[in-house]
Amino acid sequence: MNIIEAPLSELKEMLDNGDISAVEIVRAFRENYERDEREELPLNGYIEFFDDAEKAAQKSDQVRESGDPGILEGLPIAVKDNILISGHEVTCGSAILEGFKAPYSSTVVERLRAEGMIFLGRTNMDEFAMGSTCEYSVYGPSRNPYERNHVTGGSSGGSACVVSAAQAPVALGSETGGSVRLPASFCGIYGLKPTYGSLSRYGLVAFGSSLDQIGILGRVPDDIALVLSVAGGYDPNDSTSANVDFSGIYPLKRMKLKGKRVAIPVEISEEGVDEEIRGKIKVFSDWLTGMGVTVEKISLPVLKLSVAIYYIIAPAEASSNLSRFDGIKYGFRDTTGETLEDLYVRTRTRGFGEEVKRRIFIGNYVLSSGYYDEYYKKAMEVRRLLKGRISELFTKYDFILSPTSPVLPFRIGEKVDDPLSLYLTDICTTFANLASIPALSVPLGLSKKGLPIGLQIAGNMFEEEKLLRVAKLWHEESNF
Amino acid sequence: MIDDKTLESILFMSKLDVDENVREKFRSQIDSVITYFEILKEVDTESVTSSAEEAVGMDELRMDEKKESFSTAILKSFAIHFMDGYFAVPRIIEKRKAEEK
Amino acid sequence: MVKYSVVIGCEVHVQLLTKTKAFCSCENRFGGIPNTRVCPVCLGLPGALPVVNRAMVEYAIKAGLALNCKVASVTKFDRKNYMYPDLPKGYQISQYDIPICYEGYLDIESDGSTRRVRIRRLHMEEDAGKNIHLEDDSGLSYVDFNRCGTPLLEIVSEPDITSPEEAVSYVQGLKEIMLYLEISDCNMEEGSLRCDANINLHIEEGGEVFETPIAEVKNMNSFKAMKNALHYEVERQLKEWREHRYTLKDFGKITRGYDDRTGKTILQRSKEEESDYRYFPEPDLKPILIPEELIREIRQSIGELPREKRKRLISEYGITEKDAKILSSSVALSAYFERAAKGYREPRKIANWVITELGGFLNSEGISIEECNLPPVYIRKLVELIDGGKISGKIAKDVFAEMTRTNSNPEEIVRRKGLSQITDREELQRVVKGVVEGNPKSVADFKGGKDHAFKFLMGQIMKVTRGRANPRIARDILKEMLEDD
Ligand SMILES: [Mg+2]
Ligand SMILES: [Zn+2]
Repeated sequence: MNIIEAPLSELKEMLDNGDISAVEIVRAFRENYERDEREELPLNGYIEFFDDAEKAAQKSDQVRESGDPGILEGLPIAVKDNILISGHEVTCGSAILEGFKAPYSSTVVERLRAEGMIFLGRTNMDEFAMGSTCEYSVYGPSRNPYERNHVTGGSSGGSACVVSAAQAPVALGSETGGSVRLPASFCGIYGLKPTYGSLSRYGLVAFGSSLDQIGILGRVPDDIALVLSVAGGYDPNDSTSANVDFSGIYPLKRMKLKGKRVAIPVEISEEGVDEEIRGKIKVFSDWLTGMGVTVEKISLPVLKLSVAIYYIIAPAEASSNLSRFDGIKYGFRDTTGETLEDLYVRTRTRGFGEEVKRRIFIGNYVLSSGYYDEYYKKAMEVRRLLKGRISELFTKYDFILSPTSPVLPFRIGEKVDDPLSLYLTDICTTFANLASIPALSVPLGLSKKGLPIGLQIAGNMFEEEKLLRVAKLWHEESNF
Repeated sequence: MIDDKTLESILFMSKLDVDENVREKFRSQIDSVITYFEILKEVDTESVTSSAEEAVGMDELRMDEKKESFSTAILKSFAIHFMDGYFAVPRIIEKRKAEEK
Repeated sequence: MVKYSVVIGCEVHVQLLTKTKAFCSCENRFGGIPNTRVCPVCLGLPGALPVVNRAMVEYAIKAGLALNCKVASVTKFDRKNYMYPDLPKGYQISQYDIPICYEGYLDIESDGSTRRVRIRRLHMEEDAGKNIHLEDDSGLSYVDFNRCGTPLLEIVSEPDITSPEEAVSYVQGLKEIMLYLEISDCNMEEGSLRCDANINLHIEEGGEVFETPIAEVKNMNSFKAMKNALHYEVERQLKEWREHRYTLKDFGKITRGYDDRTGKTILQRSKEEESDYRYFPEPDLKPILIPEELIREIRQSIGELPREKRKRLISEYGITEKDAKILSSSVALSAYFERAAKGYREPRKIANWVITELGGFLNSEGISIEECNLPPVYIRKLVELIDGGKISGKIAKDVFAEMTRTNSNPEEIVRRKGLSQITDREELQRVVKGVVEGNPKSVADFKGGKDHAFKFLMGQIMKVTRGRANPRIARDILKEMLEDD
């Protein structure tokens, strides 16, 4: 069996049987990564592949030998570079965190490490997770493994890229508005955005705190379930984390689809959606119908507003969250000026990229006196309205189905200067963040030109397991 | 269109500067986004109530129990400039004082 | 002569004496080695999240109830955004539109009458760190984050205060309550109680009332400084009015800092420079439900407040205002006094012993009244021994010393040590006779008109009896004997 292509469940079995070692696993992924680095256009999914990963694997092999392996003993994972791993740098794809070494670990990393998981490296991302393409990184864009001149999607582009290109079996990403699902869709893998509160945010560098959530990317639904089963659940260090228990979800049980009800909102699945994508969605919904599922088109006009709501609330929270990057305590400091004001302005102007500056500006604008009611307060109210509508919908339906992206992966540089049109690629995904519900991007296959197409299933709060079980059936069926 | 005064004041709050030669581009990019927000104006939110359902009880708060703090070695590992137990920053000169000079 | 009235509203910040900080588990304590009580949360490191300290919320409710406030059934936190080196997140977690307590009042004494100062709101927030500016040539400033994240109450009054003296009295009243509730040590010099005052004048002229620009006066580090600063400000605003006739409409609010050395206030910020704090709900913390039951429990735990207690002690025990003030400053002390004075007809005497002797003892031993094991009833017994002529006041002090050393019954001490007074006339006559016979020179001196010789002879009587002679009776006998001759 080929190590780098194997799902976690198989690697686990091989480790358990003593067929391979954790060291061999790390080496296999490193070799695959290094091979790609020598390509003319490297994928650039990793910002750093950890030198100490092999050492960690050695230790893990010793633990296994001593007879008390963790649930994830020796299994590797890649981590988006906005999730803190103590002792390693964390940059958020930004120059402003230059040289900053995390002095503590995020809760999710702690939990995975406690069960023996090995961290392969830090993955590339749009600066501070602000972007839908992974082009806004100070380390340059990641490239789509299916077509290197195309974007990976973002902001967790690096995580999607390394999983898709077999440089890691699974990866952690983060979502604020589609940042796991969009790159998963563009790179042809699965990407789960859990319910807000399912995974601790402690140690995830904040972007939009009321929306942020660590997500998981993988090539098989079961791999995502395995990571979630360890990483999820209540954390006293995160006041917004929920009292849920995922420990029993792996391996995913089979699901009886017959009798389930699925809604497809026309607002995010028809107008403006690429023809090829619509075709693939049809294939999927026909499959569901064939399995005895009732699939209905519905209309939910408030969905059309989700991008506007999102691009008010997320930047507002971000403008405040990013105030701590001021050149005083850690990271980059520009000392060319004279006054404190100079220190702040120069550090931030040089440290932040263009998209981050735009969002900080928008955020401060919508929060400033005179505009607060018109924008921020209004957006919060419409968000509540949307949340209510979504929750009503789940009294009648089990799932909400739509494309993950209205468009196919586009070329690097194509939309980089047109923020609004870029923001609109988030039209299908942001409602799940606004409504705090879980959603999963499922790979449906390739377009005629060979670019991946993804579909999104959203479920009611804390129904991650249900989403993954549907996906498991599809995965067995589709073999993509 | 965002006028000069608003642009300046929001940049001041943001502690950011935008180069003269890209200022107009920046302004129009922001403007198109803020104009897009207008679609929310039409929405009737009269009936929306505040969300008390998300509130937590007192029992969910943290007990007043001390835990260990960072060691100085850890602070030194990430601080830009750590000196004599303090985070050192370029001398804080307020704008007013700087102008007097 | 300009006719005017002074209008003052106070914003008081009080540091709470919780064990840990407001949103993290670092120890909450004053001073110490810089940056030793810091963690990812209070340093605002990327990824760190706040968690609300339950004790802070309970202390806030306690303070609010003691200040006659209403308590919100649901409260929440908000972010106040501004950047400064001592504020590591670039925002302060505070409360904006739903403070935990609101609409209360505090009654204060002013010119012998009682005035009510309404309290608009009381909310929770976190303190900032400390910037340290040394006059060295390093070109550097230094930041200590130990204080950062200390829980604070901000108590905002309505502009009901009409003089600098009243402002002082108001803040003293707040301090008294906080000390009594044991939720803050309210040390103005150390900054655990800080008061900013908004002050302006309402000037009457030609049947019209003009308001001068409001000055927010900061940096008043003692009650004396407060009084000076506000008096200075009244004079300054009067002068400015006479010279320029600026009104609130022209200028709005300005910020002025008090300089203790010069006794003046200095302009810090004008209205144009005022920041836009961009408050919005803190997304990292959920709103908090405060159940009626908890409010009831806390209300019950508060009991009688110092001011009410003071009034009752005076009327019930007839003690002086001064003593009542001292006794009511602590629950334990007043309870001790009341237990000692119970059923005794002259509580003033008990108050005196508790305050002077017991107070002195506690002070010298460095222990609190709570740590004192001396049964209150012993104080009464001691006083009763004096009343009954069993011991003299002087002996009583020795008994008291023994009593505090061994925690034993004063009657027992007197008996064991044979300290009871000699009141038996015959016995005293024998003693006096001996002294008179043994000191012929002094007797002669007395008869020769030297009055001080009498004192000497009395001293000899006390010496012989080791202080046990009843001084009144001994004096009478000595007089008789000296005149008899
Ligand atoms: Mg305050
Ligand atoms: Zn702390």
